[in-house]
Amino acid sequence: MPSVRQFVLTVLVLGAVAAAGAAAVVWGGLYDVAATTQHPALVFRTVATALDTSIERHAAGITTPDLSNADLVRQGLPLYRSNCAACHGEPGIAAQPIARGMTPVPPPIVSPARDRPPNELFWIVKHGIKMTGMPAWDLKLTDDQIWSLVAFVSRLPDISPAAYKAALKAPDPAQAFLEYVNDPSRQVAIIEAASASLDASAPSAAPKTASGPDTPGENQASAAAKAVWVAALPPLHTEPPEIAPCEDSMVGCEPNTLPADFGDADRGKLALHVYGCMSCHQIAGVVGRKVRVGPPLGDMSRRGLIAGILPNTPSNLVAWIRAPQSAKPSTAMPDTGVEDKTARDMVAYLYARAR
Amino acid sequence: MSARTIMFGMLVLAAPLAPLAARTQQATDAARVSEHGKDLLAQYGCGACHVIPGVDRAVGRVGPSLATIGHGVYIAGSLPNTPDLLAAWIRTPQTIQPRSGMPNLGVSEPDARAMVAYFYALTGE
Ligand code: HEC
Repeated sequence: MPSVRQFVLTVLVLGAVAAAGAAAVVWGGLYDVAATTQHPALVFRTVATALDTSIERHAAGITTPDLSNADLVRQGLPLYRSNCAACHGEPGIAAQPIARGMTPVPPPIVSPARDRPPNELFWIVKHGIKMTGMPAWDLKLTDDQIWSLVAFVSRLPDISPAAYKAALKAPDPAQAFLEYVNDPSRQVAIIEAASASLDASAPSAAPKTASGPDTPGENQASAAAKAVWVAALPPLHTEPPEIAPCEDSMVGCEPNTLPADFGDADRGKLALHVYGCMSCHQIAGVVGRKVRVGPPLGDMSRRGLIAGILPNTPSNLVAWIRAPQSAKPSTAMPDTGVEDKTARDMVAYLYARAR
Repeated sequence: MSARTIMFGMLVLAAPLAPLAARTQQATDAARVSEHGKDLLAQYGCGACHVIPGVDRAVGRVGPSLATIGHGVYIAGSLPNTPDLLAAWIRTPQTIQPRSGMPNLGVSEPDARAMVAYFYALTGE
């Protein structure tokens, strides 16, 4: 039996070692603060949990007013667009490039809108969050304005990206927005229309070039990417695609293989991190919250179709990453201006990581 | 004390338990519907194209894994994830998205609702 003295001694020694370790990290500059390196998963989870519990605790005393008032939602839309959209994006519309490399990456707005109750959203907007890019809006916006923002944001998960964009083009966007969220069946019609417009406009004589070397100039580059997916688009079909059955599933028996030198997987992993892809997708090896704005990407090498419409080939995946809305106008995934080489590297990582 | 008084007394004592019983009943009903949904997912062969935890042989990878679709924001990246729209998608994906690789499988409305219940009950991996 160890004596009390031995026990106390052990505790003291361990405490001293821990304190020395902490001191080395703090004064020795051991923790890498570069935004190009991810937090270790454990650190990320610990900080994220501390953040969530702090928000929950501090917002607990706030009473949420009646947010169903249409006027609140109406006032919220322009406020959101002028103050928040730059960093948090809008349904189907990317945040400004400046927000994408931020660490932590500002969440796409639908994510907190869906996961956090209104009192927490109010608290976050009013007080901001230390050591993140989220500013306090206290003194800049009135409480009433913040509540109207919360009223609007809370309804954002209820609108499809296609209907949202249609609402923005309407003479009275806020009114159109309300009509869509209050009658979801109207949103289905919008998506049908978006798909139809694509069929009408798809040029049949698109050049069949694979994604070539980097082309300077955003427009030229995305035009090249578009040409690839247009060439690859399957004809309009009402039957399921022909997929040969195998042992346990229709596809997924063998992972797709990548041509040699297709891309640099390590650089691709970094790119997925700095473009903030993990703010919408769960990606093995890229540390982030448990989100599902888009589908998880763990099985990309085995996936049969990209976004349900494109055969999953490496060059289609590159084209999709670069210009998703050209292939599927209704998608919530925004065009983020990823360059050809970077997209290839991302594909190399996604294919390599797939189980 | 008459028999009527005793019965009345018992009723009064048991009254607070009534909502509890109703809630338990509701919970078991919900569990039964979602369990039925799980069987239907196997019957309709959804697992040929999707990974669905708990469903036998559901290891397909034509479409995305449905493990976390219950707390997903969008359906097929395009529609808000509400029970109504999720059921509509399951019934008529190609009516909504004509190019979709997911076929209209002739799922009935109640069957689609039961599948939705199962998806929402899944807690994810
Ligand atoms: C022939 C293959 C196939 C079959 C069979 C199939 N699906 Fe799908 N499913 C897909 C594809 C491909 C997508 C992606 C569609 C898209 O994103 O546009 C999809 C998407 C979905 C989604 C949306 C997933 C997401 O991440 O948003 C749900 C839910 C779904 N399917 C449920 C079902 C159910 C339930 C069944 C059985 C009744 C079923 N699927 C049968 C191919 C299939």
